[in-house]
Amino acid sequence: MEQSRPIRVLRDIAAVSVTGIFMFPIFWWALTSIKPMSAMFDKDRVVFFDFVPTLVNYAVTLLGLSRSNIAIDAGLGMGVAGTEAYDSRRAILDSVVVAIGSTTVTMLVAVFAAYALSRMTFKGRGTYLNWVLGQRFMPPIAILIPLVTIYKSVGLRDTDNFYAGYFGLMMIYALMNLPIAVLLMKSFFDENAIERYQN
Amino acid sequence: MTAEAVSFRPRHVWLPRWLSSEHPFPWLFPASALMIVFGVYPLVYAIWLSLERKHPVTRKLTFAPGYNWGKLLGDERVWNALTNTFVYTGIALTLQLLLGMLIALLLDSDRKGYGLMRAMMTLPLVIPPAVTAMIFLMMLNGSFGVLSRGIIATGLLPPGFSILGNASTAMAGVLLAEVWQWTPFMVLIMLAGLRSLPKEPFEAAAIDGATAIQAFFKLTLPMMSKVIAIAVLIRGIDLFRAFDYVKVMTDSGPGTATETLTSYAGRIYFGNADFPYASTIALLTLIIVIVVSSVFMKIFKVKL
Repeated sequence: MEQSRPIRVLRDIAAVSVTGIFMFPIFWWALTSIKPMSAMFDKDRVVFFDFVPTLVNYAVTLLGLSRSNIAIDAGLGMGVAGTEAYDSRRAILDSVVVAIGSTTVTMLVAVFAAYALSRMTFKGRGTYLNWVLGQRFMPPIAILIPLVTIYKSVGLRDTDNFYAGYFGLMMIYALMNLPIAVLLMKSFFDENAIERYQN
Repeated sequence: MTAEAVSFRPRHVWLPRWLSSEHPFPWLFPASALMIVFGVYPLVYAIWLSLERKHPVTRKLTFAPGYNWGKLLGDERVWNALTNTFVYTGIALTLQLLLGMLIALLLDSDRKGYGLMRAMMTLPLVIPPAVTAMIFLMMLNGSFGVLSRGIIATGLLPPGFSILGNASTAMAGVLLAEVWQWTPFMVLIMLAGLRSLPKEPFEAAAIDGATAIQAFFKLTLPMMSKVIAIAVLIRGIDLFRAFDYVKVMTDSGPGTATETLTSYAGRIYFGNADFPYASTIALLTLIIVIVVSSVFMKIFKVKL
């Protein structure tokens, strides 16, 4: 529909400001990451741009340094505190391993199931599909409480063997993502019907 | 090429029919195993747990089918959590639906820059909910938070007022994070719906002299009703099991002001270690989700 010029300009302004409002938390998040402590916790005013940017926060999380060591190395001796407890490298590794593992499990399992659900006709196919999709609607807490108990008793929780710890997490994430993967894969197989390849 | 020539099955190896690649069983087995071991078994275990009673001192489980469910009915905190969950779901769903529709209409244009704005709008969706909760926790801090400071500067709240620390405003603070993160989801679905609408009815309406508002209520809304119903169903189910924001931002507090059913179940489990009762509350959530969503699907004729 054609819009007159003033309405168009108003619409542009509205669209830009709405997008701006939704971007603000992300902007503030990024800005805070390069702020020194004094700018973050200024009790008199909100500091927007008048601070000296610092990479200390990245050093603390990614290099495993402590805030106090950084301050002492820089020649400050007073009022410094902070431990090495914010080292996130191990947590990042955990996330990557679990993400890759659970995606692999999901894809392997979902491709096989989706193939059968798309290309084969058998009794109970609709029921099976509903069962898979039904997993999406289950509140995780309903199975999490027994799962924590089960994991504890088979040694998948609070364990020193991190393979076991990863395994438990991967499987539960794979289960959570299975419905959406099966749905997407099935629609892919449905679109690429077998007749296409029969020439 | 004949059919026999491409058959790869070795003739001399005998396999039962249900193990051959023409039978669905081998294909469905991995998915079924995953769902049974990590989905069905825990669920059955949860149902069994809810029928057990945990002795407070000896910690022995004894079979007492009515105990937990009876306790549930008489527990005021369950009713409080239930009210909170419905309030949370209702307000968040309404806001997300209305805002999502408005923003989708606003951004549905082919002019320069709108594609970029649509892409930016989807950014909140890729942030983990726990991180979003941390961002809003930081911005809503009574002393240092930029949002709190902003509201205090307008004079609406007294200086040093902690939005998440007061029972009357904590829910609004949590809802802010929820609405910020998931409105873009609604925008995305609505935009997909709007983009797939046929052009002809709108041209006909324009020729007949219909205003934009008439066209919206008489054409856009009815044609979008299926999309809206599915979006409401998916979001509603996700909202009903709200946990992340509440856990990170207020930890159900202050007191029980933002306690939802799932966070109450978590508190009972990790705080009191009363897992039969925690299972019962979790099952109550599941039952409500199933009942409400099937009624919704019947009324609005939603098919998955």
